[in-house]
Amino acid sequence: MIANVLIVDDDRETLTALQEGFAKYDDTFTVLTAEDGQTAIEVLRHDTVSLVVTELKVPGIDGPGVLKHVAESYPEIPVIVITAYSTPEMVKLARESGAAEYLSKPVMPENLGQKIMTILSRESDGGTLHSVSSGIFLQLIEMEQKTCTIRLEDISSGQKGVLFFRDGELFNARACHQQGKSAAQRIFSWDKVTISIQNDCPPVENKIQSELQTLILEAARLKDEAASSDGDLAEAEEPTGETDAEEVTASVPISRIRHAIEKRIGQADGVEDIYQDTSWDGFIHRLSALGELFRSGPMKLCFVDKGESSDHIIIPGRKTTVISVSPKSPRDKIMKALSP
Amino acid sequence: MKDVFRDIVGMDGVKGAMLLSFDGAILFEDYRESSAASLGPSDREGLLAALDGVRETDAVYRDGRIYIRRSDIGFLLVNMSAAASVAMLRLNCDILLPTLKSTAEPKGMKRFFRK
Repeated sequence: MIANVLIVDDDRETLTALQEGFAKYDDTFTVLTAEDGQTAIEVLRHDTVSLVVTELKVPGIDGPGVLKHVAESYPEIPVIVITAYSTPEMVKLARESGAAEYLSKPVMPENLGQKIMTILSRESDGGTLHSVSSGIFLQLIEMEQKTCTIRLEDISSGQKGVLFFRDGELFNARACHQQGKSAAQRIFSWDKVTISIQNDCPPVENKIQSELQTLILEAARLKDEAASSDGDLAEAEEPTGETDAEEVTASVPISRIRHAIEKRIGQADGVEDIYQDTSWDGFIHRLSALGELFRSGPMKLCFVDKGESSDHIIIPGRKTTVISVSPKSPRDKIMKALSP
Repeated sequence: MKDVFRDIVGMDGVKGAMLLSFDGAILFEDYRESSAASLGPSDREGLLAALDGVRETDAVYRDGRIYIRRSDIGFLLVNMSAAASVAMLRLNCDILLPTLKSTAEPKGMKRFFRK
């Protein structure tokens, strides 16, 4: 399971240097960046982050503010503090705020990378399981009355979630900016998952207060209902109610994208082909960064005309999906169908 | 040049626009929102590399939309809300962008021999 590491720093040179320096760890963690505290909080809300590295002095909500927010809302996420303004008071403040590590700038990517790897290894100190059914496994956790934090990744969609167990009781869940029961039901709707087990659980409020078996059955029921419905893109991908279109489009299979377009527009939709193609990832990365700069949030999809015989609609995701369309296709309608 | 873009920047839902030359210079910039971010040199360089060969792109985000259109002198970037009319924006670009060539400042000796 590839972890997300969020780096918060308004110094773009540092961000670039760290991103480049961490390229060799890309089979272990991916770097997400934020140049101010508010953006960092947004990233934390929308992505499942395993570790935060923050400069103490960033615009808006500063490093201590980010630390406080993480401690209150994401107590399982460790934070490494880096700063160019190191003083004994700063060190004390960072330690008291719960920072796992404190480093003075300049930070060598190799040094920080090793610290990140050490901290991330704790996420799976209880082991990792690949391609398992979450329901059966989690009932074993309940039976054994384990206290642990379990991170899951849905193999088919790449969505991630976290479950918090204390003495075998599910206290809380988080997935795709949902918390509590809705997040748990979303997680339980995933067929095959990769699971990492951390043998401790941070102090979390019990937001579930329901039997695990009941939740799993309810998730199965909602999933069956969604599958037997008309196959609408949003409904099929969102069994728990709150739809976030970028997650929907980022993870749905090609057949479902095709079905959604045909349902809304009909056969004469001008769609020539739908396929997965990572060669667009650099382009997507740039446009996503542009969206961050303009505070537009994560990118759902984009249309591209390169003056070729076909235009393209690109859907970012774990596997970038490309829809080739005729230049005469009703592109606005197609885009609307895919990002309701 | 500001006159050329008045109709675009004045559209409902448009938060701002920027004209970026092919060598990364900002030829025009007008934002209604003071909080709008500005593109640093490395952002511009990377963006221009990504836009190589692109005539038009329309990116939809969770909280807005960014429309980019190639012109004779650079790329026009329009930042807008999700509710803005992209069809109307395209139409405005179709009308206005061809005039950019003539309004761009002539270089070299030509500047002294304006008609």
